[in-house]
Amino acid sequence: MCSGNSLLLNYGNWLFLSGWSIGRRALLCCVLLAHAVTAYADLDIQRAWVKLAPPGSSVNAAYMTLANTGNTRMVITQVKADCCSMTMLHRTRQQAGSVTMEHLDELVLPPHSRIELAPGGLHIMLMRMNAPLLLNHQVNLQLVLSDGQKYSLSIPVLREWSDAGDH
Amino acid sequence: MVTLWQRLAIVLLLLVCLALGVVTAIQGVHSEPVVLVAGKRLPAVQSVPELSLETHKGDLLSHSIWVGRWSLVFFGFGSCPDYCPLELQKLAGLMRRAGDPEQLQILFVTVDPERDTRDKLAAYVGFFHPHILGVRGPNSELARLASFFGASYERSVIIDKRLLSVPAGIDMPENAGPAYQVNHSNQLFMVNPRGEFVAYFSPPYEPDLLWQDIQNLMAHAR
Repeated sequence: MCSGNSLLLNYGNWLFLSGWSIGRRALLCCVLLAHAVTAYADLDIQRAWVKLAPPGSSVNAAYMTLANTGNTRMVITQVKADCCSMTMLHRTRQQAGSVTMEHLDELVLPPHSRIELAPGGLHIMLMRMNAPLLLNHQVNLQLVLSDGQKYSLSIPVLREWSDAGDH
Repeated sequence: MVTLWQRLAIVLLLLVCLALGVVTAIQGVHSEPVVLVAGKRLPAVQSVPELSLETHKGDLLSHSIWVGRWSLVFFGFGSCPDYCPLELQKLAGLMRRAGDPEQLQILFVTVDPERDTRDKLAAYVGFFHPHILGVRGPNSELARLASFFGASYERSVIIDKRLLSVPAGIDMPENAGPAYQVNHSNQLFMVNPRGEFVAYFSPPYEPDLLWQDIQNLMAHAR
């Protein structure tokens, strides 16, 4: 995914040197701004929710479907959440009669790919909670990409995704 | 010439043969091997040992816990955010299908007794179904129960920037802190109403097929 800001800077220098008219510059700036918005929108997030944890449990799991609709590889390097002081990307793996949690340093989304974070597989662990998450609470998440871009979203705490209704 | 006594003896013999045939046929029907779809039966059943473990209600995990009802046993831990809740939801669904907790009970054995206190375990299992039994106790006894069923588990923790493995049966160091990793068995173990380990199920299994196997085992044990 392109960084909209760096793109604007580079194109801006080129425009300044070219000596084009103000009208043409304005038109191209509009195009470039549109490009920047599109680049940000290359990350499409659907079905995002946090699973309600049983009482006494100090950890929650967040799930979502991530889609990279652009032509450039995306790498999610960090996830922040306002409900807790620690988050981790994990994958539940089952092999030889046992289940293990595998920690992931980053999540790679190749161009035009989709990754499901779903129960029993990939998930975001929310740990060291400020307070227990209750049903229908909203959790503010921020996904940080390797190019520095940040993607913010607010997702509900549900028993099951099927309870989401109009979310 | 055949005498009357000889005729009577022949008729009696035929009747005995007929009766034996009927008995054999009936036994044949009932001794058909139970074929499981999702699970595997043990070649020979094994009595669950008596151990110093207790349920979240404070009852000892004695022989009487198993007697008179079928049981499914699962090993996990309460700080498991992803897999254990998923599994307990499935098991709660099975209990709702069975309807009567006196017919089928679910035991969730924590392999993390330091974090899963009795109160926390009670709240945890009760979240999924009011009749699921949480089981906890000393690490050494939990390891014996897990070993009996063939359920492996281990814990690992980072202390002073060093990764420390804590095998089954060993207490978690007091300076471990609240966040550490637990790897555990993902199998379900079935115990019959005589307290004998009879079958196990390895994922992935469909709840419908699991339920079919359970009903099959129950029907052929009558």
